[in-house]
Amino acid sequence: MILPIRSRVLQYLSTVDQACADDVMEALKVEYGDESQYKKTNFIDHLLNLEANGLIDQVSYDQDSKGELRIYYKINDYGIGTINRYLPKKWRVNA
Amino acid sequence: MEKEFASGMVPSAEATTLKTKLASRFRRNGLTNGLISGITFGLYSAIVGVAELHNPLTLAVGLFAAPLVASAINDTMAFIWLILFNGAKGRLKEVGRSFCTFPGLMVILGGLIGGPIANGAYLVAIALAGAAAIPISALCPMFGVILSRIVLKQKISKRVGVGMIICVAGAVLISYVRPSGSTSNFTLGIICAFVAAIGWGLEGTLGAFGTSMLDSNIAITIREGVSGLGFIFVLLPIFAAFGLFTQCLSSGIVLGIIALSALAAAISYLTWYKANAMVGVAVGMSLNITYVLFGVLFSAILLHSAITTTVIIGAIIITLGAILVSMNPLDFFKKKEA
Repeated sequence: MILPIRSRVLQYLSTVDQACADDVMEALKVEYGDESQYKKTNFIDHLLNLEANGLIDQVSYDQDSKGELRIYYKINDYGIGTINRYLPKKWRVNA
Repeated sequence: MEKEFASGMVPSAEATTLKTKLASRFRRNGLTNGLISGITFGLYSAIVGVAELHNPLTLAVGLFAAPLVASAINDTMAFIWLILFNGAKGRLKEVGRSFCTFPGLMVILGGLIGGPIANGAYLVAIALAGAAAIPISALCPMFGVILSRIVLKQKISKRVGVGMIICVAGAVLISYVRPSGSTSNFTLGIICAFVAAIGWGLEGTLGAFGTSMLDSNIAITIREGVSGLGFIFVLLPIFAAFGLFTQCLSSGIVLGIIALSALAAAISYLTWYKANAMVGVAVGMSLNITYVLFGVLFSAILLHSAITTTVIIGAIIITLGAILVSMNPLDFFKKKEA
């Protein structure tokens, strides 16, 4: 089963220490890369929404080689709890 | 001021500026979405009013049939608009994926509660309690805030809380009509009005929960589809309005007008769900309730309804409330001084 993309972005953040939009895109390319929703603006939007809903936190930010803003995010306890309560078992985080 | 992270890294001033701009744009987009949801819902209400002036809706028997049939066609057509929109954006696969998840199920539940249940209760409330039911239904943001506080642990600032109360007061004033005498089931009508207000508040909360893990564009598509089906297969048979529904489907003019109202409704719900997810249920619902004001304005344009002094006072109040919810007025003066 393929997760809805926003849920998958959240779930991916539970598997790494921290990640920026480019990292998330690269990691999820195999699953969603052939879909036209696979755009950086959409991934940035998913990350901003997850942050606005208190599921992930900003860790740091800088600029990439093109001068574009790069924000790194980390999942928090509420985000992990949300995954474990509401996503299918396969995607849950081992405590 | 430069922020130092736990890693000890200090971001450049340019990166900080870019990040501040991104955060401001995100909040501004959230507020804009909330306001657009109010404007387009007001437009939707007025266009539905125009549709109800045409046959066969004018020939409807009973108080419920015409608005129920209009809602059934409207939500189904809004679903079709949203499917076309998501298809153009390459997101159709997301609909199936989202449908089977727990957040997707909560969006479905929210759609059923906010669609057929709350709308059905609202219509019964108006039939039993008359115009007294309308201001009560305008209390829905209060219930949205209470429920989102309990379910989503969303906290609101004093400024947003006061702004929301002002918005609700303005909406109540605009929609208030002096009761012309109580009916035998007046109390039941008032209870139904509260059911509608709580239902819409619950929909806002469940929708915000769903869109924390689902794309808002997809969540609202599911919501409109479920609501349309709920109207067609549950409410229309209950209120014996299925015959009128099929008659409307063969009326080109009614279908054409409702296609327009459905487009306005699709934009309204889409932007409402986005606003709730981006700036919280309190701000999203407070800006959405401005539809009471825009509904009156569009009705004056399309239906030549009167704009009374009460409406003008209510409009000023609701605008002040919307400003207070959206921004700290003191910031405005600070910027001017800078």
